[in-house]
Amino acid sequence: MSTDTPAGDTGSGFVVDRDLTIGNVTALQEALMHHAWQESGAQLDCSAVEEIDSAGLQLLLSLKKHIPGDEVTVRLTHCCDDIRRDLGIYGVRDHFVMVDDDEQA
Amino acid sequence: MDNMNEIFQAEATENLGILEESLLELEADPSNVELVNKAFRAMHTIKGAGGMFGFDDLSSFTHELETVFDRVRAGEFAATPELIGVVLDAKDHISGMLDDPEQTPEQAAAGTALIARLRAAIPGGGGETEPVIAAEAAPAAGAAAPEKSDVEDAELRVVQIRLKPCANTYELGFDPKPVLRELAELGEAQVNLRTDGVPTLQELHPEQCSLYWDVTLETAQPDDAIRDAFIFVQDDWQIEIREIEVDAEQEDADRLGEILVQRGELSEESIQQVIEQKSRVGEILQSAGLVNEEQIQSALAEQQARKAVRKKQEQASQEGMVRVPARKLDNLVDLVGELVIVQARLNQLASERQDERLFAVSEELDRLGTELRDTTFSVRMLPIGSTFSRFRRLVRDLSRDLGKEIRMLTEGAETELDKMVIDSLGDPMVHLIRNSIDHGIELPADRESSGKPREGTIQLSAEHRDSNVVIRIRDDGHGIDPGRIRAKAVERGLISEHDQLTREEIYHLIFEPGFSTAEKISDISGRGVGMDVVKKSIQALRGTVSVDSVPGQGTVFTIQLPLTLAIIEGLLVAVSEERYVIPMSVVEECIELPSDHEREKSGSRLCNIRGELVPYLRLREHCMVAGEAPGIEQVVITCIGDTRFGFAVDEVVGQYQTVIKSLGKLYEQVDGIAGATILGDGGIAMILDVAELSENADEPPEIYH
Repeated sequence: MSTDTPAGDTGSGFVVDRDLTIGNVTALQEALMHHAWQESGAQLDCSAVEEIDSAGLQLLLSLKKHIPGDEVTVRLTHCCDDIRRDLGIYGVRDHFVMVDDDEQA
Repeated sequence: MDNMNEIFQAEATENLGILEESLLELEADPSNVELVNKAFRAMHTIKGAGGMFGFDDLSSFTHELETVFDRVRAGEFAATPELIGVVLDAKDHISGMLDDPEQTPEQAAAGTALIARLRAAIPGGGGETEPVIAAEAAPAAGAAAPEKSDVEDAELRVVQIRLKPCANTYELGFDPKPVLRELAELGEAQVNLRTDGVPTLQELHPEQCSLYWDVTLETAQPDDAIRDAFIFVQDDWQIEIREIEVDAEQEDADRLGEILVQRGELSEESIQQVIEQKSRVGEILQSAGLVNEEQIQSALAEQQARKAVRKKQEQASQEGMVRVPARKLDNLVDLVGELVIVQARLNQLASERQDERLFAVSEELDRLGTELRDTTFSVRMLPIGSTFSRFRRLVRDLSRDLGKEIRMLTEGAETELDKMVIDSLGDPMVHLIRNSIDHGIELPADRESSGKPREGTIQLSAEHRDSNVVIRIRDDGHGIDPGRIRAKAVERGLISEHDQLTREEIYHLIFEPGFSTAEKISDISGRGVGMDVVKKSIQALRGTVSVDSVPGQGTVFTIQLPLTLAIIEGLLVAVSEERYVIPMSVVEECIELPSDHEREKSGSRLCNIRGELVPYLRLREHCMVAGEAPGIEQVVITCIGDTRFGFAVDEVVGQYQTVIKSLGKLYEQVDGIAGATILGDGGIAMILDVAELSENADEPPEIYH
């Protein structure tokens, strides 16, 4: 199961500890709902995510609507190349802020 | 997913067929760009769908072929015979991977070896290097460049695609990613995810899809290529494809509003109100809360694409097709057959009761039943060309093995035949074609020495004749020497030296079991175990096969088959209480048989039809039906090919729509009976095998001496 981590600079942090795929979305939904999100911002550590499908993507978008605030920003950190590529295929890059490792540091 | 895998395998097999056909045609016409594109598209579809359905090895392997053919498409080099040969072998390898996705090490090694051969076969070198993307590769020096791809020549256009998966798509194992990826490969794609329907976390059903996409595609590809991206998605996905008319003169901001209106996301009234403010429409609309950011972005993408390309006429829309498993159609045909039997019972009942109202219902049902039957059968009819295509490869490979030069020609490939008949026709035709290649067509040098062109031809043709299909396999080889046939038949004890046979009868001897005139036994044909099997296979389809030849000029095999095996129009006849059905397709006429018309000679019965003596068979005697014949019998004259033959019966009852039922294993070997049918009164009538009965009956004395 995913575990909470200390919040980053721009919102409450969450470690996604498994692939963002259809087999995991129900469990991840449960964990995301019980996480204490700060207003207008969220940061997800995706270093353990090797694969994303549209069910996982939908979960992230649903999170974006779940977080209170007008201009919600969801930051994805430590995304591997495959995830970045797939987010591009899905046409969704603009929906998230991709944070490079250097920038994150 | 098993069902989906089956669909994938069926469609991949179909695409492999298209690939093979295209390659073989390309071999004869290497500069044909359309054939290159056709082959490429088949590879591309197999690769894409393979990846989607978990056939990863197959997909990777096909990708190698696709990469090479993409370079052919780009005009870097031509599709040489060597390259085509390797790709044909690779196509066979893919077939194997399709049947058995779990590859053995040997199969994997064979695949690797094929890839190496493929690279080595690239004209102008480059065989040792990794395939490169066509657009980045320089033309190979000295390579014969085919004409530019028509895709390159085609104008760019803008296509707007809305892709909306059904809600349960995840449960069924589908994800839009491969489709989006495939679309992106078709040109410049602007993908915009639409999240209107995405609920909050609490309301989300994570296994239900609420996403959809707008894709604005700048492409030179035709609509078919775009639709191919959706080949394997479910029917209940909403796919909208529309070409955008591009007008470079109207690039002002007002167009953005028009786009949104065209999409139904904004009313004309709303846009007019905002336009009057003469500000940036997108910002105004968004700030007015009429559209959201995603809608604006998607429309902007379309607007940009419109600016980038010029108008292109919309491709002709593809006719909607539905793929249905063959077994469902078989069930439907069976049900129609049962309906026909019930209708016959109803008709019988109406006759017995002399009930006019019942007659009216029966006639109406008869009319509808006939329409239903014809429609159902038409659904099962397939063009025979699909079978012809299979043989092109056979001709190519066998002629090479034997050092012969043979070209295959086809005619009437669009002729339709019942799927079941087509499926059963493959093996006998393979044997006949092998026979023509092996024994008929000469070696190139021999042909030249006898004044023929080096290249021989095998022509496959098909045509409808009445309710039959006539298929011919014609070669221009050295023909069959009737003297040799006769000598061999005497040697084998099939005929005596004194038997005098017509030319047709002599040629027909080659269909006798164990008959062969081949001097050398090869693994292709010549063991004498095939032609009798061919004849039996064709007869099992209620067809006939014959052969004719002109020594030195060639041979033609003629196969005549019924259009369908399920229901036929028959002529119902009666002998005492027994009923029989004679297929209407062979019935020529019915005559009365007074006793003075009968002649008997050498045990054969003959009747005089306007001066011509026609042999006939008394069904009463042949079927050992008890009782006396009436004073005047009826003779049904049939005609198969050039042979006329009669059947003497007590009564001709009339035309009868006959649902053919198998006799079962116990009776299937009974000579002269092709099956049975259930009559309206519940009785059974045997269906006569006219070809067999006439063949085995005593021959007329004019021919035998």
